[in-house]
Amino acid sequence: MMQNKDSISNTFQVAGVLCLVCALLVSATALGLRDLQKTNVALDKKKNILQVAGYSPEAVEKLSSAEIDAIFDGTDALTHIEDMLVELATGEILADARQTDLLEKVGLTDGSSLEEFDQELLVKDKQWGTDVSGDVNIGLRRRETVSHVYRVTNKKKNEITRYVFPVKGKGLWSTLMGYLAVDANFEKIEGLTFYSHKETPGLGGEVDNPKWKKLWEGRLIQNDSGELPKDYVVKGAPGSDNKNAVSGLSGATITSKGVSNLVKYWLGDNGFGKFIDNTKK
Amino acid sequence: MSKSAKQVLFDPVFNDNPIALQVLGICSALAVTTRLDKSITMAVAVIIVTAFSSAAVSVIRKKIPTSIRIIVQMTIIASLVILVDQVLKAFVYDVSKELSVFVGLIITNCIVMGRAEGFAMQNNAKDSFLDGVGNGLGYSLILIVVGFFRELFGSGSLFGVPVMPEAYQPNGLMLLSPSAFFLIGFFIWILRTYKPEQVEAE
Repeated sequence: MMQNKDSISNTFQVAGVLCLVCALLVSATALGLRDLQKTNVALDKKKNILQVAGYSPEAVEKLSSAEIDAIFDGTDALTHIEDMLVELATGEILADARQTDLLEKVGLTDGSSLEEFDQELLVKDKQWGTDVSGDVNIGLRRRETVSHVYRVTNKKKNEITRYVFPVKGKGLWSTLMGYLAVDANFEKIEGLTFYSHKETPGLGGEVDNPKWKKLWEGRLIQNDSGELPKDYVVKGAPGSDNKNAVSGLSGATITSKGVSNLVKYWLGDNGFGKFIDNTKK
Repeated sequence: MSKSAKQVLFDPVFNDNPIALQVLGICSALAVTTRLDKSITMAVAVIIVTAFSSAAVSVIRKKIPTSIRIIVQMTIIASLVILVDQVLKAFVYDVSKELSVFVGLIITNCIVMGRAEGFAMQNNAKDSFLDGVGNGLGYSLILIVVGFFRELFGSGSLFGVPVMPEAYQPNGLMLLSPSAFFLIGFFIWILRTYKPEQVEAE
């Protein structure tokens, strides 16, 4: 005879068994699909890099994953996007020996490509991570000391067209992770895109809006006095004399401020400023 | 007064539509219907979750202690939603990115919970499954109709393919949430004109 279903022991039994079954089901799916999801995320990052590297969103959608890989490994006829690791404090490209050290540290052995290197793993590391300092607040306490930098080359003209920097910073709810492209002379912003964020859809989430992203193209990095401007995102429309900033997102003051700060931080001396200075010379 | 399987399946589509008559699940209907492909993905996800959660709740309904029944239903629904979310992330990453939080929010979609508590707790697994599919279909119908009109007039395209003549100036209002209210309102109006018995008594 079945015991009373409302008895305390039965309540605990049902709860326990249910939790176990559900937990197993969920973790089995998550594990089983993890590789597929990883591939998707990696491909999505590359697509985001392409979008700021001069490909329109429609053009990116048309590329197959093999074609995208070709652009990154240099076999594409038109464009080559090279992946480099840069030491932020010095602005130098990471020396080979240090690079091997670093890759081993995060569990990548010889032969695995740079692109698999996830710099987020360094943030908490004592040696490879550092506290965020400076007067621009990006809402994060720690950052990595070594970052990917993507150099975009037009193979036909044989000239460097852009550099793409990974950028990140807090918005309202989440850390926005994205890519910022600048031209080869480091005068203009060529594009900004975010591949991961959890801002409010329709408000802060409009950072994904293609129209808003387009506003960034051609904005100057420095103001007339040769410094980084106060803000890169301003309330309302930026005046015609403001060649640096874009118009903020309505209803998303904190997200807009966050984006403004993160652009300023990563272009500044604590971010890629040293790399920019070095490469300019 | 047990209903035939066909009734259980199709009643929720027109006669007892979860959105139009029960007015449940409105929030997600506003959020995900700016494009048809998003609407359809969401619709399929909801059908799967409602159907399987109702069936699962129904199978163990005689064992569920009354005191924790809502939590039990919630756990089942939440697990299924995570499952669906994981599958979407693995196979249709772009769409799942666009749907962002709303897949997760199926957990709080009143339709799913409502069917588990209101139907599956009293009926056998087969009927509960069909009832879940039916209610999912009812929800899908609205989502697809609303998604169709919002994408057509809001972006001038369907499934991302431009269909309106070049001269058409997209109506931005259609992409904002209020337009979904208007469309759902029109839908309910038309439905109740044909089926006056659905009009609430004054």
